[in-house]
Amino acid sequence: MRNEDHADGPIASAAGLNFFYGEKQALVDINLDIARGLATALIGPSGCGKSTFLRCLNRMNDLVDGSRVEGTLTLDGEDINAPGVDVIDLRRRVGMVFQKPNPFPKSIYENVVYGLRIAGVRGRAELDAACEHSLRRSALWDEVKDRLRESAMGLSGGQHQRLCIARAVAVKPEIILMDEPCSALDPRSTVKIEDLISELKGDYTIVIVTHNMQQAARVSDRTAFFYEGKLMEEGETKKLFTTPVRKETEDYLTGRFG
Amino acid sequence: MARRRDATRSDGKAWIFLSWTSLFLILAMMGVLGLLICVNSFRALWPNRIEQVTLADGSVFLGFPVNADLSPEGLSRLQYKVANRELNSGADFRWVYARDIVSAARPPGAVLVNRAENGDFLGLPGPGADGSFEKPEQLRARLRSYRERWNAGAEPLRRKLASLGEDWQRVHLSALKAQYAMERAAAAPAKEESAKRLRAERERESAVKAESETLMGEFNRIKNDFSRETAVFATAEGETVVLPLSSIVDASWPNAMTVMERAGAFAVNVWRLLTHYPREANTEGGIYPALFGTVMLVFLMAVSAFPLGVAAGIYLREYAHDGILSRTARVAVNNLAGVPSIVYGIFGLGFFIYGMGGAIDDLIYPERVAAGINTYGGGGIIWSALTLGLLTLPVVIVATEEALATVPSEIRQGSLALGATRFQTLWRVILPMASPGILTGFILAMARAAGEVAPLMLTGAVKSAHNLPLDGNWPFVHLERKFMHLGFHIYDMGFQSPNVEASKPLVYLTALVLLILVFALNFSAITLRKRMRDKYAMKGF
Ligand SMILES: Nc1ncnc2c1ncn2[C@@H]1O[C@H](COP(=O)(O)OP(=O)(O)OP(=O)(O)O)[C@@H](O)[C@H]1O
Ligand SMILES: [Mg+2]
Repeated sequence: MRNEDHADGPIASAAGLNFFYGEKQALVDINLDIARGLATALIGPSGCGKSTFLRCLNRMNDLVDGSRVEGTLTLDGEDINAPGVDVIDLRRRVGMVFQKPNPFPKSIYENVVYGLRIAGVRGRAELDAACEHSLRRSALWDEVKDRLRESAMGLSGGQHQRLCIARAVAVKPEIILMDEPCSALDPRSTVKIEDLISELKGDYTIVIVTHNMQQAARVSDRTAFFYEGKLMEEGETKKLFTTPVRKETEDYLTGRFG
Repeated sequence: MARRRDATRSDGKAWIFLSWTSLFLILAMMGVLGLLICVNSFRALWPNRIEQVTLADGSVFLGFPVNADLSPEGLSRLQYKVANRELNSGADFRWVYARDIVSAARPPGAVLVNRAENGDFLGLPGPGADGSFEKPEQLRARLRSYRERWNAGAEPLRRKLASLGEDWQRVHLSALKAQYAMERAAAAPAKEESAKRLRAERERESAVKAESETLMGEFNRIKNDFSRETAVFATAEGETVVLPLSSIVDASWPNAMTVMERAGAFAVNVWRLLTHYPREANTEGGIYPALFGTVMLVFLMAVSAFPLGVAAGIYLREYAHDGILSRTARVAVNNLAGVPSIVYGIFGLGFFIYGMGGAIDDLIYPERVAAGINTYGGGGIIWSALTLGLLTLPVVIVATEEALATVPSEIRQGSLALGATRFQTLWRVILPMASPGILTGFILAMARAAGEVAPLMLTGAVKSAHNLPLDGNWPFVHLERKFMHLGFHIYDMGFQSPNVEASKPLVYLTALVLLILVFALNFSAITLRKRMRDKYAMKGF
């Protein structure tokens, strides 16, 4: 499945990517490589297409009627929009965490193993192990290990978001996409999620959309700045924040808009 | 500007008062209706005292006071249920002017006899052949022993006869089939074959007939023996009345009862109401077949409408693209919800009974069609259930769609993003979350359908059906049978009865039972919804 030739190159890369919601073009000629094993932050003013780009990566945009992609977007060198590609398999390889925590109204355990169950995993031991592993990885294990069978709806907002991360981690994706994962959380929960991201990267490639510049600076290795559907600038986070090349980037970072 | 705002403010007050008044009016009307039904039902079941009324002209009668009003001349009148239909030239009730009443007493020996025919009998103890009067407990013991002996000696025979009747029906139908085959057989050997079968069937038919005739003779002899046992009563005027024990369903002495005994009799009356068959053109007896028919009808309707409606709702909400077709379907569904139920009845009659039922009969029972016998091509509980199902379908579809729409799209996306297919998402996440709403809508629709009468009148509800659509005779479930229904029963007793006045208490009771059934369904909907909500609660959303 995976293309070994690309083991060292970028895990995903967009070339000449255009995206349309019906008539409206949301992404214009994006050329962007997502570095393997690193955390990439997508920043930019509201409506500039960050979420759209993110959702191109696991083809969640397919769900929008009348949407259309042009150009190529590859994962491990394979075009994910090619006709024969299995979307289900793609989404297992590219997990996603949403802005609003969205646990299912099921038990904590069932939430975590959901992805495995729908993939057909039946073995009790395997599910138990995956559940514990994922919860540990998302720093939730100690808080919930005694109440795995209880409804997930009883957890706090921050715990919900970590549960969603555990749920994504359980299917062992290569990339985890996070769309403003902390915007609905209080500062303490935000810190926990940020720690978690730093913890997860390396094993997983992370792409995170954020409006919080400090957060981007803290958790990401590389940053891409989007503006009006175009990719303005991309580079090492430190460099981009200190010495931006484009004027728009500088304006945005200094808070002149957005 | 300021003046206008003031005007709106006072308007608002008037508006609130108006809404409050309408709410109060509605509540009051519901309260009055409920009270009316409950009070009248209670009066019908609670053992009332028998009054012995002496009139100015010296005549005496026994009766229950049931009503009072002013005559057109402004005189106060009382209505009594005097029963004893056969002695009062067919009338159960009697009006008397209050001023004509000299005295009203409650003789402790007054007896109320519930009879299998001619309605109730009201009387006093009468002298036996030797001039002695039988005590209530003696008569009660005699009745008990009579019933035991009847159950041991005659009842099995009666059952046997009934089942022989059904056997005969079956054999008769298969003889019909053999004859039909013979008449239509082209080749000689086939003709020969079916002729042989026909002869065999005919033999069986006459064997069954002979057996049932012998049994009938025996049964009549036994019945005759039993009918020799009698009890002697007297009317208020002192006339002796001899009633065979076989005609007595129950005898009671309400004037001598303690409160506890009354409560006991009340419970027995409730039990009888729910478990006995109607008697005497539905004016007496219980409502068991109607209750049974209603419950079974609602069950069949649920089984047919629920899966279809939910599937259609799911398709419309989850899969159908928002095109002309789905929009048309939605408009059609919403309009169907407003179609009068009688129109559904006509559709059921035309499509289900004449169309489908007729086709089934043509296909599997051509011989019966030739002989003019309907099986599925006539009204039946299955057709009524399907018609009602059709009637509830729009509600179920709309409820399903709405319940699905309340599931947040984040949840849907969360599942899809984990690599679930749409169907997995639907089945494992969305449906469980939508189920409280779906079920609530469905049960409410069911409750409405349970009280629906008009379409049933065209599709299989009848005033009297002794054979239930579910019984111990092969094949146990008889979906093609006509059935009785509480709603139709109310209509029949209240407006089609030969003796409307006498069936009035039963009308109230039947209405109460139907209401309880409907409320029970509604109540279960509410509990179910609450339990499901607790289970799939969406805290934090
Ligand atoms: N489902 C949709 N249908 C039509 N247009 C859409 C849809 N989703 C987004 N858009 C449009 O596409 C553009 C990019 O949207 P996108 O959600 O990617 O922005 P964003 O950068 O994530 O913004 P934010 O920071 O507010 O989340 C916006 O102009 C938006 O209005
Ligand atoms: Mg966004």
